[in-house]
Amino acid sequence: MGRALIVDDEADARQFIRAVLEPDGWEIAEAENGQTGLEQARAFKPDLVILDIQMPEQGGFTMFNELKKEPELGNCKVIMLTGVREKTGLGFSGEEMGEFYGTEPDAYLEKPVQPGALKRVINRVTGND
Amino acid sequence: MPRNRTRSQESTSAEAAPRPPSIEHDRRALGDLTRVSEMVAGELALDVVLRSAMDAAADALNAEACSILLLTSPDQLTFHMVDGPQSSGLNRTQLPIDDGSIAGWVANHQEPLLVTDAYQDRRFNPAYDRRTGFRTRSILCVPLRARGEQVGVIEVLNRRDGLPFDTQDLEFGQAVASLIAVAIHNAKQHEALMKAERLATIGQTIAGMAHCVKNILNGLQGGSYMIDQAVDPEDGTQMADGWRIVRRNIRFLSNIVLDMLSYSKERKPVRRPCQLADLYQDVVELLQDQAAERGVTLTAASQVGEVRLDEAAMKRCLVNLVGNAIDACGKGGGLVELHDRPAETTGYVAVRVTDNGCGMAEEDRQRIFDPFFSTKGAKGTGLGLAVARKIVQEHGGVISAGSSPGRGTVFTLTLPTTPPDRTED
Repeated sequence: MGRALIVDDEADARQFIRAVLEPDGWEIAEAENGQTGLEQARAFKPDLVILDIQMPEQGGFTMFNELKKEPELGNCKVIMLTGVREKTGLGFSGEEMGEFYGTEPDAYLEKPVQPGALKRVINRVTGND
Repeated sequence: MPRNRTRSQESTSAEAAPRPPSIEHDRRALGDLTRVSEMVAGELALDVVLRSAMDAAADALNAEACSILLLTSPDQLTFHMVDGPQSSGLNRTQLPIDDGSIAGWVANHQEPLLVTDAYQDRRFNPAYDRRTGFRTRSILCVPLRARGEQVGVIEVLNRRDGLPFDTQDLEFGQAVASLIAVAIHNAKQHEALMKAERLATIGQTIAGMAHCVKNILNGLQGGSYMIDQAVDPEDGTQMADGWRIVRRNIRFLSNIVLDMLSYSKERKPVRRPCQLADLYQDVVELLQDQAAERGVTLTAASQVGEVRLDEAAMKRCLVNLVGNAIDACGKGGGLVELHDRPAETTGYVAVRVTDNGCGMAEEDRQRIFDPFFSTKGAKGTGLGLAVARKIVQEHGGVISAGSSPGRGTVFTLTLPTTPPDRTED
């Protein structure tokens, strides 16, 4: 299938997504926050990044912004996972992110993540439907 | 309920001779009023206000006993504070607002009453004396009104010097009553504000926990998925059975928690382009197990295609509706359908959840969207449909239900496909 990088500060969450993706043939790498995520992305060169928003050290939005500036990762698809809306009362639409960063993630999913929904979104975003 | 404006009524028996006015008396009265004011003003807890008010009134009017009765419904007073010998049995007793008692009469006519010889007055009700063993001689009863609204009445009994209450006491009593009424009104307002604040705080606390809770639910979901991959659906061992119980209850708990989170805060939908067919598929997937357990066939189809809506919120809404539909089918199987078509009004889509289950009676149908109303007994939180309606309304849509007992139910959600504040997509 390709290479997928999972970035989430919760180990359980990373393991869950790995369990969803690996059976479909994805090669997996993991990172705990935006900073190590960026380092991994440069080394691993993923086709797909699944990115949690709220993380310590460096959060998802910041990493996403940095990722999009990387020359070799331009075609990488990014799916963002959010539970952040509950805490802050703020929700971000793709358009708002687009206006702010100049680019939007390929998809958003709200936690708790439904495995079927995740797979469908991945297929849609990577053109595998 | 008569509220005639008549002259201040006095007892039918011999009038008490008014005391000669004196500067000394006036000065004492002013001092007493100031003391009353100090005792009740600034207190905000209703019980404390009532206690202070009674003490102040009994003191200022030199009375053996004092009662405050509050208006607890348009035709009823309740003894809220009673002080004096043998009075504790009266607290919380209810009294109708009619001419069958002095306090009832005063509340009914909204006029103060001075009764110099109680047992000679037709309106006096000796039943309360019989209950308490007290012997009432004279009564001063004044309505409590604040900001144009009735609060209740205050009643003082038996002047301590043995003489009956007089017109000066009546005038003084009215001044005291107006201070007390304002204090009670303020205390009640304060109580209402505190209650509203408490509810708002609970909402805030739940929302604050939400992020943490959603991560936990995510973990439960993840672990469940992994175990499901490993357990053969045909497996009849105790472990597999035990797992199915755990999985089902994780689902119940997730639903309750997600409903509570949805319900606790106002939410502006975050609209993104969404394929309704994908949304329905997610919903079906979430409810597959529940449908299978009941032998219910669950189908979904979309004609409409892409709309702009808050996918996560709409998923919660549909999961509640479809889950209810499955439950309505009982254990014998049934059919639940989730489908849509363009609504009659342009720019709207009609999403429908139909079932051929038990249906509901008209009086239930009218209440189903009320929070905490449930026909499921111990299994229902009563929040599912309240949440569904909240979500639909936040989207600028409308939800309705049609049903008859034994013939199934249809829920129709009419949703705008273009959000109201945008003119183009």
